[in-house]
Amino acid sequence: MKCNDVKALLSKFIDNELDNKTYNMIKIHLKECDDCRNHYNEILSLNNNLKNLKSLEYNKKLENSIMQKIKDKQKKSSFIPYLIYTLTFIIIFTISLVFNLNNLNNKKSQTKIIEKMSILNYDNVKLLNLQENSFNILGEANENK
Amino acid sequence: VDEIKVIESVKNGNTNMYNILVKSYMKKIQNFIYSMVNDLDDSESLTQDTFIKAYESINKYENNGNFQGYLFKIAKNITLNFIKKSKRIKIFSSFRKPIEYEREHFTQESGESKLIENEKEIILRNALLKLKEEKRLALILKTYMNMSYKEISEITGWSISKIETLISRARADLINIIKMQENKNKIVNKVR
Repeated sequence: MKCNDVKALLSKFIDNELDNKTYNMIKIHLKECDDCRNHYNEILSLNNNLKNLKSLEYNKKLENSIMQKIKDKQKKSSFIPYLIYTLTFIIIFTISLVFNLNNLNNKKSQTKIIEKMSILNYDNVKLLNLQENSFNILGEANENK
Repeated sequence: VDEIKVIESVKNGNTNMYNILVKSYMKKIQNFIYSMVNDLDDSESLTQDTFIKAYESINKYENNGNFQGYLFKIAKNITLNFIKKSKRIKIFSSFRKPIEYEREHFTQESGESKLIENEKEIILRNALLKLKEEKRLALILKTYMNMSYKEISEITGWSISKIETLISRARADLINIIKMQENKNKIVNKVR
């Protein structure tokens, strides 16, 4: 195996993600090659430092705050459907109310129109009668001449 | 306690049982997030977001015995989104220089080499922060969280070969960054 090939595989070698055959070939190469072994040790030491990074202590306050948030959310989520029901009821109620009022108004205006129309009709009849009368008067006058 | 039964019970609306899950995974998740963002306050709020999100979508989780993977997936998404957003408003890595971190929050070891260890740790954490997010994520999951490439692939959705490349490059980058930092420190010490 060439050094470049070995170096390219060192990361996988350290992570134990190679097949047995390749793994062993690299192992043998590392025994013989100083340069590759130095490279390997460098990665290995970095790896150990990363593994041994200190960890934050368990944070009881954070745990409590998480659980509190979740309980609050649940309360909210059981309140929301109730809220939606009431709101829809109110909305439907108002819509039907407005609709009914409109209808009532319409009916009122309809009757008004009908009244007006009948008045107009009445006037028309009067006019026609007048016209007739005047024609009659004119006719009579002509005959008298 | 049987975790699968606990989760089943949470799915059925028993909120209190969720506390058991928070207790067993919170520390791991917070440490993962902290290693990604290197800020204590941010790590707390992102951990909280992770557990709330995990709770809200618990019905999507098939109770298949890999709750940790499910949590890590959510934590990863939330953390990467946070980093992207922070970058957009350009406060990440330019103004925020996490050289000193809050020591009292860490499990302390006693010993003479403590100071040197602390300095090493600070250099390493700062160097991690200089890696591109994808490299940082892959390397942290592999080494600090001790996961296999397959587990990382399940969490990130990346192919194994992509993960191999990311981790290998992350290691090479880190080694260079740390060497540069150590040289800088040597020069500073000589000047002093």
